[in-house]
Order: sequence, then C-alpha cells, then structure tokens
Amino acid sequence: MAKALNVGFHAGAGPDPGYLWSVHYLSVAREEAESFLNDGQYEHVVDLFRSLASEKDPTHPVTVTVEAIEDFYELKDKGGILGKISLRVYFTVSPHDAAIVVLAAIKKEEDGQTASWTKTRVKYRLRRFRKGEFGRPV
Amino acid sequence: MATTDVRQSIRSMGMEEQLVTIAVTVLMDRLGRLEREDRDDLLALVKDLGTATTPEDFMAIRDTMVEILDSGHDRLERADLVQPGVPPERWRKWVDWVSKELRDARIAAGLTQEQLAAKTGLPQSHISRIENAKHSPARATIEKIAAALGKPASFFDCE
Repeated sequence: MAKALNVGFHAGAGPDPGYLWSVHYLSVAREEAESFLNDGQYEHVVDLFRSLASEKDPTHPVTVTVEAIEDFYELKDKGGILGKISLRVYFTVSPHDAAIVVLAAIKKEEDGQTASWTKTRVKYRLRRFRKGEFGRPV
Repeated sequence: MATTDVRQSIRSMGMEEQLVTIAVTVLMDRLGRLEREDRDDLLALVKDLGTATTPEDFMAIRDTMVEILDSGHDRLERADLVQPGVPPERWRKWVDWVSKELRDARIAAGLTQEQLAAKTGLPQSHISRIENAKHSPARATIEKIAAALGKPASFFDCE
C-alpha cells in the first residue's frame, strides 16, 4: 500500500494556519519598534499581533487594547515585560487580503493623546499603502 | 532675475552660500513634485516643530519630514506567526513568571479556566496558552484577569 504524502507549500496569501488574519508590516515600522524595544519586548509585540490575528474583529479585540483614530487604529500596551515603555502601534486592516497592516510604532513616556506629528506620519503611510506604493508583502 | 544675472550672483557667492543655494534649489524641486496632501502634511509638521517639547519629538518630526520628501523606500513584509523559533531569554523569563503567577492566583481563587474565561470574557484557549507559558499577555488581558481575581493589575508586574 502506498504511503500517503503530505505535500505542503506556502502560497504567500491568506492567514497562517490557526489564524483569522495575516499580519503585514512596513519595514520602517519594524525598524521603529526595534529602535526602542529589546529582543524580549519585540517578541511580546509579535505575541500581541498573534492575539489580534486570532480575533474575529481586530479593530474591536477582547485580548488587547485597540482604539480607533480617524481612519486607522492604535494598539496600546504597557507594563509587564515592557517596563516603563508605553507602546503604541498603528495599523489598518485590509479585509480584501484578510490582513492587519502595521504602519508605525512609537513609545510614549506618558499616557495621553496621540501627538499631531504621529497622526501625520501614520496618515501619510496609510495613503501610500492605499495607493499600493509599498507593493505586495514579501 | 535673468539667467545671466543668477549665474553671476552664484559666482560671487562664498562656498557656504552656494551650498545653501543648492539645498534650497533641491528642496524646491522636491516640494514641487509632491502631491498636495503630502505638502499639507509637511506644513503641518513644520508647525509641530515649533511646539516640540523634547529632542526625541523634534527628531521624530524631522524624520517624518525627510520621509515625505524622499517618498520613502519602504516595502511590505509578511510576519510569520507560526514559526516558533527559539524565543529570546528575556521573553522566556517573563512568560514563565507571569504564567505561574496567573495560574496560582486562579487556583487560589478556586476557579477553573472555563470559569475565569466566563468572568473575564476572554477565550478559554487564550487563558490556557498564557498559563502554559506559550503567550505573553497584553496589559488588557492581565487587567481583566486581575479584576476577576480581585487583585490589582500591578500584582502581576514583575519589574
């Protein structure tokens, strides 16, 4: 009797197994996060997005804090492994690709309103993303 | 000013003035190529520069201006959510600690994972992954669990 073969391939589209959403990120957003997070803190942030990618609606999650700002979203976290860092990660969702798209990451010294320049930065990248200027994820 | 006059004017400049002229010329060229929304963003950032209260904010605003003028060269990448790899030691230490604290506190409260899930609104699978040291919980998750167990969220701060 012939053995059954499990042949898998990575099509590059659609969420990873076990997740409802893919997570795409801008290279510059990753550089921003890495500039103020150590390796353990960065892994924690990846975990936050694993949580988000498991939620039916990542814009209204039950496991992490997300707030809508104009036409994008802000993930907030602090304490624990982050220590004194008050983390903000900005993202949008692309329902067509079932993808969460990370646009920027900053640290805040204190809780408070999102700075005007942060909104400008995120809106600029969001406009470029919507125009397709960042290409398909690799 | 006629082109000849401009040339003569530049020739009469010192090195520093010439460099400033070059910088302004390049800047005007780049500004001219920007779309209106991008130019509006730049003007908003110029106003923000005047109100920046920290050197970090000042640098962040400047970086954003440069990004807009350069039109960026960024690309989209796809996060690999399933490839486990070897987690960083700092992550491992924190997750081991918080998983034990949360599990001990739940058991001390006499709750099962299912009961804690019902009290917090969190999926039981999420609580299980945290207690099995497979996931680093967000503050929002810790606050929900702490409230359900009658403890302050700071109870689960190790630092």
